[in-house]
Amino acid sequence: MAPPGFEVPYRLGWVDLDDGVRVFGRVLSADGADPMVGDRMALTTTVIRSNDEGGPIQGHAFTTS
Amino acid sequence: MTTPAFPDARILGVGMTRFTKTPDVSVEELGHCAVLEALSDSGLDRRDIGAVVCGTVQSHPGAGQALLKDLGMTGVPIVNVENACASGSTALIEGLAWIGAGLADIVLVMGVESLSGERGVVTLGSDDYVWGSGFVLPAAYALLASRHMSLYGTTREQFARVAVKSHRNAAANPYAHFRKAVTLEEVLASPMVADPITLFECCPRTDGAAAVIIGTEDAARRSANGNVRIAGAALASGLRSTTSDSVPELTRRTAGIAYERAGIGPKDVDVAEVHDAFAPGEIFYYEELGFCEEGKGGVYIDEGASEIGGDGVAVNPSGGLLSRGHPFGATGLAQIAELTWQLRREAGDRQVDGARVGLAHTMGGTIFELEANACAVHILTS
Repeated sequence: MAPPGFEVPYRLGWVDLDDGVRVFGRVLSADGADPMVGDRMALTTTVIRSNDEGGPIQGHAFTTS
Repeated sequence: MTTPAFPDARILGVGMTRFTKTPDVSVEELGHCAVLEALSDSGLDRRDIGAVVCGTVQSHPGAGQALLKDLGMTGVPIVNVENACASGSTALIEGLAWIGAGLADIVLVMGVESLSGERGVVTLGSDDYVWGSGFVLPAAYALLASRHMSLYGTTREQFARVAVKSHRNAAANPYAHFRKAVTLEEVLASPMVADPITLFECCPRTDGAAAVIIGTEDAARRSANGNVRIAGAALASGLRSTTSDSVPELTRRTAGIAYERAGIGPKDVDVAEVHDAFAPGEIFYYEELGFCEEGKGGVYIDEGASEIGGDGVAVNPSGGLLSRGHPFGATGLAQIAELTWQLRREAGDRQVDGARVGLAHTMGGTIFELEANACAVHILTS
């Protein structure tokens, strides 16, 4: 379930960077399998939601490799 | 540093509307019902009220004044407070402050909200970065739930059992939004909202009002009901945090202050009304309120410890936010009304036998990078 402009389902998560910073963001799966706590992630971009005119709003995301 | 004395305050009267969807009833009308019921319960006259604190989130500015003018309650000091879902609880601690400061000997505390006009999930502001990422409130709890599962082996069935207990308790509560028991299978099979949280594990959008009249020990002698005491209370805001890990930690800190002020520990609590806006929350708060050890919340529900008649703390005998309903401003005071009835042995079929100590816990708000906007804990004794 999501606010208007979001395509469901989508995944959210907290990702720990190697230098200790923890970043919130969209989480993607490269192979369709559910990402698990402890998985190695890579930074990418994705469409987060659409704006009022239906255009895409891009943002950062983390994906399993 | 010396610790200031906690004000000696009693609960003189409580009242609330049945929590349900009443889109055609104004927040003013809801408020009138709750206030008149609380006044009647206290045996006091409206002219006895020395100050008013009103908690609401989505109502208009000046909600307290707008509501009370039609009850002929004008001229009295009225303070409107907003602290997200903890607005009602915050109003109560504000009322305690007025009594402690000697500014009033009897304070009417009320909370009102009408949410049935909302659609879908209640969202944060559309310009909010977090909302813009899809971080709706059920998702916030879902992240914490996933972490709890990963760290402690907590299961979806254990979360679902909270909803089963909540619906069963609410079935015996004439003030509750949902009054029908559900099975574990029905909870698990209800539509997915934010994995692992299903629809039956989310509180509904509810309309309602609740009112609590508090007063000094002297005032209690003039009231029909004055044997429930507010033994301790605490309000805290969240620390700055860029992780979601520590959200329940705010509860541990706030409860610690309230326990200390009351001179009471978690093992003394008989009955609690806890912020179960989403079912996993209740599991976290068993641990953070000290009812069980960290990581053992799932076992606590499995063993039936939190059931009415269980061997732990009976949690959410009213049905909690999940089933009694969660009209933001009214929620904290509905918790106090339920605990007052429990401590007075007036809770009917949902009575917790021998209840002498009650605890109310409310969380409020999710400003990004804060644990939460507010956490309030009140401890009542009879």
